[in-house]
Amino acid sequence: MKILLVCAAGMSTSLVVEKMKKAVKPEYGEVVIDAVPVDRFEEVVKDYDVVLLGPQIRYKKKDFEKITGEFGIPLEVINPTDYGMVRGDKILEQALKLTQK
Amino acid sequence: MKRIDTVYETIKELCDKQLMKGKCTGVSAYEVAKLLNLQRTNVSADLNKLCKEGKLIKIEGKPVLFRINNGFKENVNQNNLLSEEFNNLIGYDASLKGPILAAQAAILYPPRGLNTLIVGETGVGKSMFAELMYRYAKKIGRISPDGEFITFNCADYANNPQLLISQLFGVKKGAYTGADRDRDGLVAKADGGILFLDEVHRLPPEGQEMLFTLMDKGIYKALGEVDNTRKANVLIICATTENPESALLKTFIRRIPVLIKLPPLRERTLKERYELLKFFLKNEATRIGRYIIVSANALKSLLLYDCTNNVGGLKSDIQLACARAFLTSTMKGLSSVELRSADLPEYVRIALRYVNGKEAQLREMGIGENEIIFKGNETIEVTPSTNIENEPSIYDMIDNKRKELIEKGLSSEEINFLIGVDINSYFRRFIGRFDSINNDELYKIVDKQLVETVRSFLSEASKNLDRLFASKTFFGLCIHLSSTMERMKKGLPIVNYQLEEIQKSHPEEYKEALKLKDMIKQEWDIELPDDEVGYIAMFLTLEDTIDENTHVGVVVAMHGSSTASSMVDVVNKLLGVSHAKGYDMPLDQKPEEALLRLKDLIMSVNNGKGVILLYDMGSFGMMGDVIYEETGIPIRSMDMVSTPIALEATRKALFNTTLDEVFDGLKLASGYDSRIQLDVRREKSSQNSIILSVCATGLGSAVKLKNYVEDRIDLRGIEILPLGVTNKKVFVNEIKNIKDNREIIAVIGSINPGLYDIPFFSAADIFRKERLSELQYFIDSSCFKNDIYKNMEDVLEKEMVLYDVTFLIQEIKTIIITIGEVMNRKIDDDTSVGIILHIACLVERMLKDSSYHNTMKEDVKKRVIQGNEEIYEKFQGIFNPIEEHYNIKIGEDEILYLMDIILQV
Repeated sequence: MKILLVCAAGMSTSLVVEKMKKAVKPEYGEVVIDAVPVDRFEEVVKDYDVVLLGPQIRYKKKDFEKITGEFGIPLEVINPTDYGMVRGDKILEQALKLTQK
Repeated sequence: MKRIDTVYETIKELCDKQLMKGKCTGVSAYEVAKLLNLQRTNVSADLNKLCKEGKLIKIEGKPVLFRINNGFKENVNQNNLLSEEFNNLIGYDASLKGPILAAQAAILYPPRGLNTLIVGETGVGKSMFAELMYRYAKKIGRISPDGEFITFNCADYANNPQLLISQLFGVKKGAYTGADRDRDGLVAKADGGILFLDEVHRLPPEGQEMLFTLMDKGIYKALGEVDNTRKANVLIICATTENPESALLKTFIRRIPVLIKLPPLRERTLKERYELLKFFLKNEATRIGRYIIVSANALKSLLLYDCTNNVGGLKSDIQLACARAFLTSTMKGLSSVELRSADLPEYVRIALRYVNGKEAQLREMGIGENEIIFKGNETIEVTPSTNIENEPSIYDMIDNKRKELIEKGLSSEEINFLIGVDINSYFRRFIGRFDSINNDELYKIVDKQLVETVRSFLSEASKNLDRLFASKTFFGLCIHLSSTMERMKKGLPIVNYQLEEIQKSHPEEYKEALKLKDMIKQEWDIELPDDEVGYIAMFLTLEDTIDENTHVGVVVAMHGSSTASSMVDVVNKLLGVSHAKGYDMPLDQKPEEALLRLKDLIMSVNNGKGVILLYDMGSFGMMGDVIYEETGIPIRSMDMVSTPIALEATRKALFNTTLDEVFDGLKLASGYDSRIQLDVRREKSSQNSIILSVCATGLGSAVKLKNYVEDRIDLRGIEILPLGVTNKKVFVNEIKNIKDNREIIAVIGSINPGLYDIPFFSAADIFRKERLSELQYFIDSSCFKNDIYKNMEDVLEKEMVLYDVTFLIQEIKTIIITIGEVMNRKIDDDTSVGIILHIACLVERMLKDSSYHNTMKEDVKKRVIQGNEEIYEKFQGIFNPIEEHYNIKIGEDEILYLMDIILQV
């Protein structure tokens, strides 16, 4: 399972990524979580199973979906409250649920 | 003149003479017999007969005397004339008024009525009219009770006069070869009754001659009869389509005193024609056994087309159209018959072009753009705006869906599942349609008895289930049941794919529904199958059961023995309602007692939307708070009530407004804001989120649960409200009330309200650590938005190694406000959170590695700056305070990243 987080400069998501990594449990299997800035999204996206966007760049969702759609990669904006509270566990949960849909 | 009539006339004459001398003493049989030169015994018999008929009064004595009974009114009385035979005729008071009067006169004319000729075009209803005359004659006793109505169509034998005569007048044995016995004709059969000769202009000359003799003298000869004549007392009614001025008929008219002309359809009024249409359509509906829904255009065409064959033609055209409509509707699988323009013959259909200029007249008759429904049982349905009948019943929906799925080749298991899913959504749609109909419309569609049965059933169920039912549930159930019963009469199957599910998950409702089954069994002897009981139960479980038309209650409470009630009286009278209620507090009443009474009043007034309490002064406002505490009924209080304010409050409440809308409106109307009065409760409750701790066993355990939770999680100031409720329904209602004012974060305890938007934690959950932290999460999330800066500060403090978080958050807040000013818009919370997190992470990163900086790609850079140079300019130096405080140098490109976020939102 490879999760990609995208935010403005890849800055804020790096904190979130850390928290998410801490929430990974053995039963989830091998989980890779990376964060990239908006402008690098296109070049890396196809290597991932699921994409989460930072709430501050939710306006990108439509454009990005055109790309992820081609690869069949699910994409969602991170729940803003979870993001603000840096709830890595909840965000990880969101990502896992998304891949199960 | 018959002897008896002569006797009567004589008596009448003698009595009149006596009366002129002073007093009518009476006449003896002897006097009359002498005067008329008749046998006394015969006169006696006649006199006794006249007494029996009520025309004379017998005065006992010696000799027996007779006198005229002045109280006796001959049948020739106007009141008796209005026979229902004729009054049922469409147009009896308009275009057929003249013909009916003439017909009645003809029948009434003594002693036996007058022979009559009816003239009119094909299909105007001559035969029917003649038959009505017969019925009328029979009813008033003008012809004997066993007198028959014999119809003879002269056209049938026009080419064979011999046969015609034999048919009419009978045959003498040996009149011709094969006439081996005497045979009576129709005239003999009609003796004492009426002989109706249709198409009389086709009667050959021989026949005419014989007919005239019969008319003139009451005698005739059978075919082959030479010397013997026969007598017949026959009233003759003839009918013809010919112009009565034609040579043939002139001889007739000389002998037939009464000529009745029946008007052609084109000369009758539009209204009459519509009545005829309705009559025929209803007959067809009865015949088919279904509703007939006629489109407005089809109806207009039928009203306006040139119907050459008059009423008869109209009838057959309607029958033909109904037959076609029946076919197409059946093929479409509709339960009713839909008659559209397309079902009409072309010459009917094109009549729609005559509609110009007749719209107003049509509308007056109730024909606009809506379909009109015809039912068998004498009623006609004019649907106003919604066409309820058109909506397929649940069963139609299932049947159609089923067919569709079978065609798609699904297995029956899959089909059952899919239909089960559909039923629920269908149910909602079905119910949703009945928002706007009223009782009157309902009665047009559903048998009144059934409506009443459903009404009493629901009121009982409402008590037992402790639930209010919306009017649409009521209407929906009525209409549903009505269609179910029709369906059962036709022997169609009743299937509910969700029956098991309903029985399992709604046992209470199912139990109630069984009661309706019993009621219907009792009243109609119809045994509803369990599947149907399941549907009824579904109606009972429909959410949104609080009647949406309930209003905020209005209570005026004032000091003085009648101050409040008279103010309320004025308000109600002005608005034509009885919505506002008054509470008079006599000056000597103790506050405790006033509180109790006011509480009772408020509880009775509240129907779920809360109560506006308007009062004059003093402690009433506080009482409102106390009553809220005790009952949970939301109350908004306002002092210094005046009639205009009470008026405004009631008026507003009668609209479908919420308590706060009424209250806010009042504040505006009264300038209330400028006064110090503040609704403390409202302020407190609108801000606070709440957790409900609920136990069915009582308040005690709810409080314990509350304490347990308070000890273990950080409530962030959120209140836990303990509630002791007996069942789920009460609880859901309670939740409804609370939700008006407060956000319910979660429910903990023993009763799960099962609401989609409120998480539930059972008592057992609370003892599990992960569930407890889940509850904590809901609390945190709920609080987070209240003050994002404060909460972000907590988060950052906890999650990051960064120092001086308070300072940083303040600075970021300033930056966000500055951005808002530059962009001239408010930066939303989600974006703000993103910015806070972004800057905080940046600062932390730079504190770890002062040389770190982000580089934006050149093309992105260009895109961001282009056209936004001014903003870029204004953002320069925006990070200065942070840079100084932490002694770092934030790169140029960071402003661009910030702009990228802001500009694109």
